[in-house]
Amino acid sequence: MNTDQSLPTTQTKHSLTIDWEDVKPKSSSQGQLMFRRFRKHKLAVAGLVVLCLFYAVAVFNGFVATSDPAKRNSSYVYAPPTLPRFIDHEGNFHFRPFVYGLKSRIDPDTWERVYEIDHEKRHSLSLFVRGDKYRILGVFESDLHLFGTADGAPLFLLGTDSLGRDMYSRIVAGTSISLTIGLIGVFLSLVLGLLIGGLSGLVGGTTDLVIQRIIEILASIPQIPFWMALSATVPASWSPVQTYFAITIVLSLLSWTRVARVVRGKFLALREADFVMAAYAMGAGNWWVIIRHLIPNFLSYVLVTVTLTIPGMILGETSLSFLGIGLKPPAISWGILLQQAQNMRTIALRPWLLLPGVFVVIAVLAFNFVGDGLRDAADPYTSNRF
Amino acid sequence: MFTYILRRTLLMIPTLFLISVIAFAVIDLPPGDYLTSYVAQLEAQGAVVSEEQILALQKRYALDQPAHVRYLNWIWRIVRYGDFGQSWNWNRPVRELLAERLPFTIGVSVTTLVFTYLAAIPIGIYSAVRQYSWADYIFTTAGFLGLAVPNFLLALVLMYVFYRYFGVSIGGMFSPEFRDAAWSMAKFRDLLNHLWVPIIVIGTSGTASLIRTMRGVMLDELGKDYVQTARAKGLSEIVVIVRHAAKVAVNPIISVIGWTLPQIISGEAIVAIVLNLPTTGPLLYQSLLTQDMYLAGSFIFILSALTVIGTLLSDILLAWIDPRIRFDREG
Amino acid sequence: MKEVDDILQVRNLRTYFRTDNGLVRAVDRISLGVRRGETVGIVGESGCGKSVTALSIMNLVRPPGRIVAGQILYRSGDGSTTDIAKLHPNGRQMRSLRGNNIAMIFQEPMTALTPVYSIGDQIAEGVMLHKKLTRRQARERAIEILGKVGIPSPEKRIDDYPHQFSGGMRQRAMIAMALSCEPEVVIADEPTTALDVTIEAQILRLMKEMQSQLDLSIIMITHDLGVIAEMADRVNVMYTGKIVEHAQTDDIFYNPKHPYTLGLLQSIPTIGDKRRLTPIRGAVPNLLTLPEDVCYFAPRCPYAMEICAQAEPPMYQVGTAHQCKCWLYEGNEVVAV
Ligand SMILES: Nc1ncnc2c1ncn2[C@@H]1O[C@H](COP(=O)(O)OP(=O)(O)O)[C@@H](O)[C@H]1O
Ligand SMILES: [Mg+2]
Repeated sequence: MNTDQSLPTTQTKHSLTIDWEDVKPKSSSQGQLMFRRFRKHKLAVAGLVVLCLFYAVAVFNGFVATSDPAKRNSSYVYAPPTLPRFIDHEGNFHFRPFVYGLKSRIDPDTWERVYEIDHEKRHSLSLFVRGDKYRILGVFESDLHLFGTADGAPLFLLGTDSLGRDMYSRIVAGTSISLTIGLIGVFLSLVLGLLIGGLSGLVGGTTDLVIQRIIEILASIPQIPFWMALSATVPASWSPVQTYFAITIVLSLLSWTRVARVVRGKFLALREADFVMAAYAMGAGNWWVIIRHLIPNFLSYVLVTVTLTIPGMILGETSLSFLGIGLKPPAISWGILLQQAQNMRTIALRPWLLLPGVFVVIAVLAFNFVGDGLRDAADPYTSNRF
Repeated sequence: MFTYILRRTLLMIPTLFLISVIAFAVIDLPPGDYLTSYVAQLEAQGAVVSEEQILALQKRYALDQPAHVRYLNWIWRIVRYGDFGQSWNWNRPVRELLAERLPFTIGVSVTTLVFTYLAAIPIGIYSAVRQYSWADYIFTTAGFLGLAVPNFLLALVLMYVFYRYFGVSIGGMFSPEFRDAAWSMAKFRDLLNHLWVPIIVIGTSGTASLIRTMRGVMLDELGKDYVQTARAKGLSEIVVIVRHAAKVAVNPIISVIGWTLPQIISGEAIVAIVLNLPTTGPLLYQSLLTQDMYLAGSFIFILSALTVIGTLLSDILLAWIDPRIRFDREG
Repeated sequence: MKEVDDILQVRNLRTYFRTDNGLVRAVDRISLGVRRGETVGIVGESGCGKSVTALSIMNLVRPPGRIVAGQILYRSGDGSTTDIAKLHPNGRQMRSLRGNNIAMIFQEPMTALTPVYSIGDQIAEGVMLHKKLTRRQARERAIEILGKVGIPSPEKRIDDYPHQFSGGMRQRAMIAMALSCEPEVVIADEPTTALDVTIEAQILRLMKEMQSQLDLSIIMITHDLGVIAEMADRVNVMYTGKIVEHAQTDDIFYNPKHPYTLGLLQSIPTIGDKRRLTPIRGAVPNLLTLPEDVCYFAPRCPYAMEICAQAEPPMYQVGTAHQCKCWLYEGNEVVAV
């Protein structure tokens, strides 16, 4: 046994080269990485799909609705929902979905209108029917609807309200206001937050201290009473459009602090971050550092914050309009629709008036899922905090 | 510790000042001279308002002066005389109305806060320790739902469910027979019977977000070195989790009282309107609808001041239990 | 390798992590032994599996990691032998060993202490648990041990919180904590990496002192050959989850056999050495993407041969108490474990 064998002392270069490079993971840009991680988050992807659908509905609401949301049917006041069926009351299967018509009579004791299903009248549903006129984005006029009764009989999928207006069409119509008020509000918050937070983070010193203090104070103000007070000062004489913008401003007045905090924090952290240091050390110019490293990292955080700020605004608008001090009829938003559900008696008799709330919940859930997914994708190393 | 409390209390003064400015802006913002509308209202009720009375009122609220004088006048009367002005709608001093309603608001809010923490901390710890277990998924889902359902909607749905399936109507803080009765054991029990509804309704969203926060912080802490050190000592897992990781994780949770409290008081306002509670919410709402701005502004001021004081108390509590803060700020 | 008086014997230990991106074989069939009263070094570049080895011996590997196979035999003073690898990580038996018989010192004194308890409470906690002492007795024990590790006026500092201690003091406190129950084996995972050079020297001296006073066996984990030279009686050189060379400390420095060991030695500066430093070319490969059954050092090895890319070398006996895992020594006796 040769135990005294020692290593050759010179660098005897062998010709052998082993290349394992090809099994290394490919490097990809921050955006691609973020997208890949986002895709893993199933709920977030589902939320994104739901949001895309909702916003498509918000744009094409006239097409998706089955009737004009303002159209009154005095003979169908507070009609209950009539859901599409495939099987009729005798148990026969119909390939094409249909609804039954409604019979109504006045209850002699309560003087309430009572509805019963009229098995005599069967209206089958079909796609792309002609009906009430509407405009898309206020420009293109059409009377084509995604679906409706083939014979043009009134269809109340989700019931009607006190004036016999179709709740389904009204909820669809409400999509535009309820979903855009958050977007515009968040845009305002974003502008304010970027400016003020950026100032705070870049200038530092006393400016930073003062701004931080103001943000702290604004954060300690209870939102809803404050929103209530401010929106109550919006003159009743203002037009719906004016009110709409007034409310978005009111909503963003407290919300920008969240964006500002993130922006400032990121600025401070990024200035010190190792990779920026590394880029400096490697001789990169100032602009190169900013474009290549700061902006993508920073944008992802802002995107997360913005996504998570929108649901609060949607809830804010809904609450204010529900109380009657936000948007006012004839504008249609989910909060306005919920106004009718204010008293116990109405809800007990007509629970379907709560249905707009379901859509609020779905939209807010979707935004929260997407925001959570984005956060995990932007920063996979810290768990969900705050 | 004492210097810390003193400094924090002094720091509160500019905060309160800014809040008072905002509140005054609310009072002052509505266009039109509210004295005129007040007088018009009195006259509509059949009262005769003399010139002197109008002048006296003008002087009291400094209505002929510029805004900053009006503000100083307003804040001076509050600080010096505790005079928050007159509610024109109720024709009573705002102070009296505040004294009636505020205790209930504070009571409901504090109880809700306690409930929120008592529920969220253990659930958050459990969710973190059993990350990705079915219970964790259930809590996470419930948490998302709790965040997504607006308070008032939850109140409405609860009201509907209880009415429809149990035939009881929930709402209010007392049964009719106790509403004006003097305090007694029976009245207190009646209060507890009613109180759980607003607590659940107001507390749900706060609990939901607190569970998520607690879970996140706890996951962070569980990954830290000192947890392994504690395990390496031979401590059992439950001791490691409760005595070490959770003890550290609870601190940031307490520090978020600063934003949980505004959330609760905010939610309380709207839930109280729906559930018809004798708290500040419905009164604020009515005052806004009737442009009774002194009442509204005072509520905003007091509610915000309450949250600021609540936050201060939570910070002091935090400094008391967390040695890092205690020593950092003292030295 | 089968020493009769080994207090601790690791045999064919494998600790794997099942991650989203694939299986990480962080510790892959390593064997090592520790005798009573001696210091065994484990040295290797960052990420080679040293900490996972230490945690495995403590049975503290957390999911997604798991001890997959192998034995960790602990022979206690009364002669009974326990296989730690077979014990439930949170079970009573394992917990009664941890801190009591085998203690561990962690790398980061800054983060390894619970921030919300005083130093004294954290030391007393373990003492009360294992030695069944009252709170007062445990406190006295904590003061005594803090004094031993060189904390001035320990009766005052005992109520301090970790953030009031400097880095070096915290590491002394960590050592005090590890020694508080008079364990037989102490695993020190890079105990001085986070410290200044002068503090490092003090801490190492302290550890040696404590070792001779308490007849400790120490497993010294480090990436620093200087620390090894200072402390270790025997050395295990680790690379990508495997031990590639094992020898007496002198042999490692004056008669290295494995090209990797040689590379490590050539990359440290020595005073008076005129030759240029030659760092090992290339980088540590990603454990995730390694093909099985090759020599993982081959791509960086100046002596690589065809066979290195075709089969994993066995451990060869290359001298007295000297083993090396390299095809260069093919023909030597293969060490069975
Ligand atoms: N919790 C974990 N999850 C996945 N991989 C891990 C984990 N902990 C360690 N590893 C992997 O195990 C390998 C060895 O790590 P470690 O023992 O910490 O190295 P070091 O020698 O620097 O102490 C590393 O490649 C690391 O990626
Ligand atoms: Mg390590």
